[in-house]
Amino acid sequence: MRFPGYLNWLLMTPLALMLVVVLYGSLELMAQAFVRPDGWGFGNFPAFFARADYVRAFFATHMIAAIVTAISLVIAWPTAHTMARHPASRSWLVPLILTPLLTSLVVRTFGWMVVLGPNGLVNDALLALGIVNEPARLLFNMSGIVIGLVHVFFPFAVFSIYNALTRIDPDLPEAAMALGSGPVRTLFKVTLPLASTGIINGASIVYLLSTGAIVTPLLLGGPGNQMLGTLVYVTIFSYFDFPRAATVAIVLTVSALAVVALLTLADRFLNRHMSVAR
Amino acid sequence: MQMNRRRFGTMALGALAAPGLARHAAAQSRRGVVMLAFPGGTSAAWKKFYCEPFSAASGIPAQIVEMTDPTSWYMGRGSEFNCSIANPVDYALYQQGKVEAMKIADYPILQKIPEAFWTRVDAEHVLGMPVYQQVYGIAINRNFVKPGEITSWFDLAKPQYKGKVGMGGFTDIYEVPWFSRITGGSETNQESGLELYRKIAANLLTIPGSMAQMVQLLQRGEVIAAPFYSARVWTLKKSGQTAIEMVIPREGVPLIPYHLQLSRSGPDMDAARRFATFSAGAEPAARVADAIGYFPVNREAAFPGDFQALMGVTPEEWAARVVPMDYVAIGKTRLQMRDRIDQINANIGKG
Repeated sequence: MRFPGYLNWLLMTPLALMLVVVLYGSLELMAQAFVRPDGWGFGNFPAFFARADYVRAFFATHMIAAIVTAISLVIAWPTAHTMARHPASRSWLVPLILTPLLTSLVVRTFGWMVVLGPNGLVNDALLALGIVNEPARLLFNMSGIVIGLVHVFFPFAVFSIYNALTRIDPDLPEAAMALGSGPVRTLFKVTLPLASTGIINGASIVYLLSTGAIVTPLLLGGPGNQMLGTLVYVTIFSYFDFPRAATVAIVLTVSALAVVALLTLADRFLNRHMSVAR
Repeated sequence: MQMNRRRFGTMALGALAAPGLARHAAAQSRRGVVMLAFPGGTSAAWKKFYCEPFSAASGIPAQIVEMTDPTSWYMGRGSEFNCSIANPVDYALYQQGKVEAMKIADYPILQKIPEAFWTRVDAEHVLGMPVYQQVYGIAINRNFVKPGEITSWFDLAKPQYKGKVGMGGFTDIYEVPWFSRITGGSETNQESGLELYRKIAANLLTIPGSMAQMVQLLQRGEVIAAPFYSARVWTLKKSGQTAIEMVIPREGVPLIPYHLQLSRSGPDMDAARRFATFSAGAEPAARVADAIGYFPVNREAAFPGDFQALMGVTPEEWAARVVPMDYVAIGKTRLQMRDRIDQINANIGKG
């Protein structure tokens, strides 16, 4: 069916509205980052990198995001593979993955405190089994943040990889096997390369979401585990310092996008060099 | 009407601009009290105990707008509100011209409120209308802390509490200035307070991201002691929980007075000024105290009848242990102190 021209424009209205809001917000943010006590300038950026705790937060953010992404992919791959190869499994795997997403993020995060806290289920079990003499510190440190973020974000990796796997012609891995390739070789030479775009897309989503996380690091991290997202939050709500918060937000956005750009380049490289396999 | 691309574009631009124009027009024409308040219990209490009776008595509409941090809203935007609940540490808002000072002579009800609760701007003006108070004591979980085990703020630094202490999110306003007072410093010289903070910080499990998280950690005994708000402990005890108690250490506790501050450029300021006088009255103060544990500052308002049963001391004993703080002085240097505290926190657990 062909719509009259103005209807196509009408369909664009929500997009236009979004663009206006995003562009206005982004420009306002960028302008704020250059506001100095004595006028305008670039001084907020050197000031950011001159602070040891901010630099530490910068590296911690990217390290945590990288770990969360890696763990999410490791968990997501077999899950997505099972869903793609055994369609019957989708009836119980999809609800299993999606049900936690129906709960509020704050409630889910509080749930981890009940499970992993010093008086939580895991520590109670470890103490009862005599594995530890005193409660292990599983929360309020980097491991707490990683556990919480993997729980929140790994479904995004699952569905991205699943989508890629369903596009692979099942005859290709079967042909490789029929030609004498073992399961491991088939996985690394056929399935993984063909799913690389889905894997990299999933990695990009999880990485971006992890770098910008606020609630989980605030609730499950310790005082020494500041991330850039929480830094933005604290800078606004504790310091009321909008220029500094804007500076942190820009550092966060630019550095996260740089990593995603690298992942995109890696995807293009893989696509170009594996064109024969495709 | 014939729709073409140009006409459609004009209409779309109009549609995009309409919400902004409508919002601006609504803000300009707003009448009555439009108050900023913290969400949750504070907001609910203001609706029930202040706004509704005020509107019923005066015929002036009064509404609450919930904001996680009213101060940051004032800092970031021009005021679309005519009043808000605040702590005197927000003196900076007055200095920036965002808050209207109140002329003492214009508000006779101030004479019913002890001057200890006033925040003077000069001889003739106060920063806002004092409405209620609470203190910052030490909340303990008595399933893990024996009676008499923690009797001093210095006890929080004892090695036996490593990994079991919590700390509030406003250490630059409450903990460090108070630690300075009990270690020979002052609100204007907080070096000794920072030193005590550093020692206690070594025992921290975490700095909870919200009061709800602090309550959860205290109730579960993950955190067994933490500087905390008396109103929160009151609310918990009122709701029937028995594990958490408030310790009033022998050094005393810092007073946290709250006031209703008036915007300088908000709509319908006359309504806000009348609301300020109403808010300082004895009747709403008594009801708020009973409901959410913010105790009265008006001499004519009674403390709740079950105060001693729930807080373990009489109102007179309580008053004797409460120490007024110079929040104006704290407000002047708090951001620099916050920077230093954040840098201490960044090194917790890193040797």
